[in-house]
Formats: sequence, structure tokens, C-alpha cells
Amino acid sequence: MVLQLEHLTVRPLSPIASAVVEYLVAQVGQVSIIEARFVYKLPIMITAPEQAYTDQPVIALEKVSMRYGRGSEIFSDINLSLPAKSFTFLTGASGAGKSTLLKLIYLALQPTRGLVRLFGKDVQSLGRNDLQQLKRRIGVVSQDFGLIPHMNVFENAVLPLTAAGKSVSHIEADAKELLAWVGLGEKLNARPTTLSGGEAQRLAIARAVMNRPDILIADEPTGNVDPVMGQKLLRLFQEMNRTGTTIIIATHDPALTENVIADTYKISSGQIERGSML
Amino acid sequence: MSSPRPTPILPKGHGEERPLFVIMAIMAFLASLSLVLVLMGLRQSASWQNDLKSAATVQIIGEDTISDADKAADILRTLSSVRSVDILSEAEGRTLLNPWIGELDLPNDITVPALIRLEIDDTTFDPVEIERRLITAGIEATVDNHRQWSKNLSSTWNRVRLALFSLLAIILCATVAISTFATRSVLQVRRNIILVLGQVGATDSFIGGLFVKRFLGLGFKAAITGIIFALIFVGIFMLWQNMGTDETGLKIKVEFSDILWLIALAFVMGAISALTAGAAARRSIQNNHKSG
Repeated sequence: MVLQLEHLTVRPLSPIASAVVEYLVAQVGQVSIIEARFVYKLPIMITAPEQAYTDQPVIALEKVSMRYGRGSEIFSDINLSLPAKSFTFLTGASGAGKSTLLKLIYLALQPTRGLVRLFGKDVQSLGRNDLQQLKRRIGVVSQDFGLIPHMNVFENAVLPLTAAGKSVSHIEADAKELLAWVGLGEKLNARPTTLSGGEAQRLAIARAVMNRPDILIADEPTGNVDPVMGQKLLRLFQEMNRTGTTIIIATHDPALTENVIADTYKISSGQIERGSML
Repeated sequence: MSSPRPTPILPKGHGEERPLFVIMAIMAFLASLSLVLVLMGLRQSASWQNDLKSAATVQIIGEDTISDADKAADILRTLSSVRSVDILSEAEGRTLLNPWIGELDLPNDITVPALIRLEIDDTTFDPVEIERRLITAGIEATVDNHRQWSKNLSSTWNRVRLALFSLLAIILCATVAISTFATRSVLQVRRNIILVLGQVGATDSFIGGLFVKRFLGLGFKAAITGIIFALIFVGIFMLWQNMGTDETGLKIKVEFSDILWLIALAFVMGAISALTAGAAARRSIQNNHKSG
């Protein structure tokens, strides 16, 4: 038996939530902890981005080729068009180029040839400041997490705001709530070097969603977390997508994709094709 | 729970800043010495020029220099451009020759010219006219208002001042170069942080600003350290100088206004260091971006 619990509006980890879950478990006896956790209302900052959307694709790659140095091409003339509010999985064998493709989209790399458009803008024609403004609309969870080791968990999480020159005082409570939601509420002052792989990954995810991005790009976001947390994070991504964020996730994890209605693209032999999970 | 304590985004280095601090302090030390010499020289030059301007010397060359000197003094006292007249004794005249002949006695058949020291009004004093009047009165005399010497002194001092300012400029340029290299070094060491900042949308100006903050403090502290050492050095020199008996020549002396200039120098060096670091960081990030 699976309960429909969407009407609950309690905040995560609050005493009321815990009491409700405990009551349901006691009464029904068949509510799994995973399902029960799903009823928690997501943190307040996971709301629709303010930007207006148009019909044009939010991410578009046109005849993009990429190679590192003088090596062979990783992609040759690939095209990809992702509409706003889409949820996309990117799959492919290890080394196929998933991370490279994501880096092209989140502007960490420039293609050898071809055109990358974000929000309808040709990114190669943009100046440095415009590019940085664009980057603020993209949340990134990279495989190496990209955490700053000498800053604590809270400071790492709010870095997108700090780097934008914004005050964090007005979102401090929300930021702490989000960190608590990903299970780092007790580790706000901890340094990333003291975190486990899973905790570091959750922190990277919290940072990526902190700025309410229009696009969230995650490279193997559940690679270091247990299945329960993996599902919880997936739920976070789904909720963000529901409220307007375009999601693109590179993953090897079939468990992540099997219960989600999403487009799937597979990279293989330097080409990208729409398909199903491996 | 209390708010976590804010941490600087760009952390302080583990020892990598020490050599930079030392080099910057040495630069500040040299710059301070140059500046002190310039300021001291300016004061001394102004003082000497002022003394020279208000003084003139009349040299009586004839056979009976003592009698001619008295006659000349009488004429000179009548002139409105002459404020005071002081005939130097023969002994005083010979003392003036000491720098050239040392303590040697001149042979008696060599006549030492009589010298008259004048305090004058430089605006109305006309040496040519006065010399003409003395010659007309039968006194073989030359009048020197030290203008040529003053001109030579001024010209020499201008060259020295230019050299010292050039030295100061070179030191400040070296500070720019040092800050640039240090910034590149920090950028290299903190490459991962810069990449993360770039990824979360930090502008080049924001990242440059981090370097400005970092190097402003470092540059200022290093400059203050260098300046303190320079003042100690000058202080020791002044003590050594005061122990001597030589009353002539350039006197090393630091005044309060010099300290204010040195404080300004510390701010300038801090600002140069900071602005250079900021600009170098921005340029380096932009170059990295272009190269891919």
C-alpha cells in the first residue's frame, strides 16, 4: 500500500513532520521511510525561477565538435536541443564524453567547433561579464564537487550568492533549512575535507540549487550517496523541475531514471542520440 | 546556533606570502630612503639657496688690501641694497683657503685678498654697478653675488633630485612587477578556488577584488615595516653624525613632515600593490579564458 501524502505541508525534519510520519507508520504499518520522507515539503527556496520563458530551447548545441588539445574528437557535429522546464538524463559509457558535454553547457569549456546557445544567446559572442551573468543562472554539481576546502559547509553553500556580491543574511534561515534537508544541518561549521563523499556531494547539490537556477546540471549526482538519499535528491530535482528549472543529469545509475518521466540521451562514439537507459 | 564565522574566500597562504612580504618591505625601505633624501635635499637646497641669495662677497685684490677694504666698506655702507658689511680678518681669509691648501702657511710674499662679506637685498643688489663704483674710487675689487655658484648648485641639485625620483619610480615599478608575479603565483596555487568562483558566476571584477583586498593589507604592512626600518637606519645615521665634529656639509635630519610623507608612501605602496594585484588577476583570468 502506498499512501498519497502530497497534501502534507510540514517542513522537513521538523518535530511535526517526525510525529506525522511516526503516526502513519504506526497506523498503517506499510509506509516505507522513503515514501514517508517524500511527503516533506521541500525547502522554501525551491520555487520557480523568476525569469520568463520563451518557446525557444533553453539549451541548444548546433554542430558542436570537441577535442582536448591535439587528441581525437570526443564529439563530432552533435546537435542537442532542450526546451525550458525539461528533465533530461544523459547516459553513456564511462569516457563517452558526458562530463565534457555538460562542461560545454555550463560554460566551463568552449567547443572546438559549433555553436552553444543558452537561453537563445550564442555564448561565444558574449563578453566576460555577460557570460558570468549567464553562469549565475546555472547550478552545477560536478563530479569533483568543486568545494572550497578552507570554507565551512554554510559558506560553501551560499557561495553563489557571495560571489554575486549579495548579502546572505536574508536567506540565511532558508540556506540552513536546505542544508538541514540534505542532512548537513549539524555540520554547518564543518570543513569539506571532514565530510564523507556523500556529504560533500549533498553539499555540492545544496550549493547548486541555492541560487534558484534556471538550469540545474548534475554530473553523477547520486554516485556517492545511499539509495535513500539518492531518491530524496531525485525528488528535489523533480520538484525543482516542476517549478520551472530545466534539469540535465548525467548518470550511470538506472535506479535514478527508472521512475522518472524524462528525456534520455545517450552519448556513444562521438554522437548523441535520443534513447533509453543502458 | 550562532552564525558561522565568515572566512575569506581567498585564504592566506602557508608561507608563500613571506618572501613577498620581505621583498616588499625591502622595496619600501629603499623607497623610504630615497624619499627622505629627496625631502632632506629639498630643504637643504632651499636653505643654501636662500643663504646665497642674501649674501655677496667683495674681494679686494690691490697692493694695500687692508686700507682698500676699509674704503670699500665705507662706500658699501652707503648703498641701500646692502644691509650689512663685515670685513673678514686676514686670519679668517686664510681659513677660507684651508680646504685647498690645508694647514700649510702661505709664503709672506703671496698676498691674500681682503674679503668683505655683505648681507644684501637680492632684489636691488647690482654687482656690476657696485664693482664699477669701487673701481672708480680706485679700489681694485671684484663683487660676487654667488649667482653663478647658486646656479651651479641648483643645477646639480636638480640632477640629484631627478636621479632620486627616478630611483623612487624604479622602486615603485619593481613593486608593480613583484605584485604581478605574486598574484600569478597565488592564482596558480588557488586555481581550484578561482575555477569554482568562475563556475558560480563570480565576475572577473569580484575575483580581482579579492586580490585587491588581500594585497592591500599585505602591501601596506610590508611598506610600514620597510619604513620603520628606514627610520631606524636614518636614526642610527643621525646619532653617528651627531657624535662627529664636522659642522659643514649635508646634515641628515628627519622632520615630522617627512614622517607624514612616509606614511603617504606606505599608502601609495599598499595601493599600488593592491591595484596591480587586482588588475593582474583580472588579466590572467581573461587570458586563461581566451586560451580555453
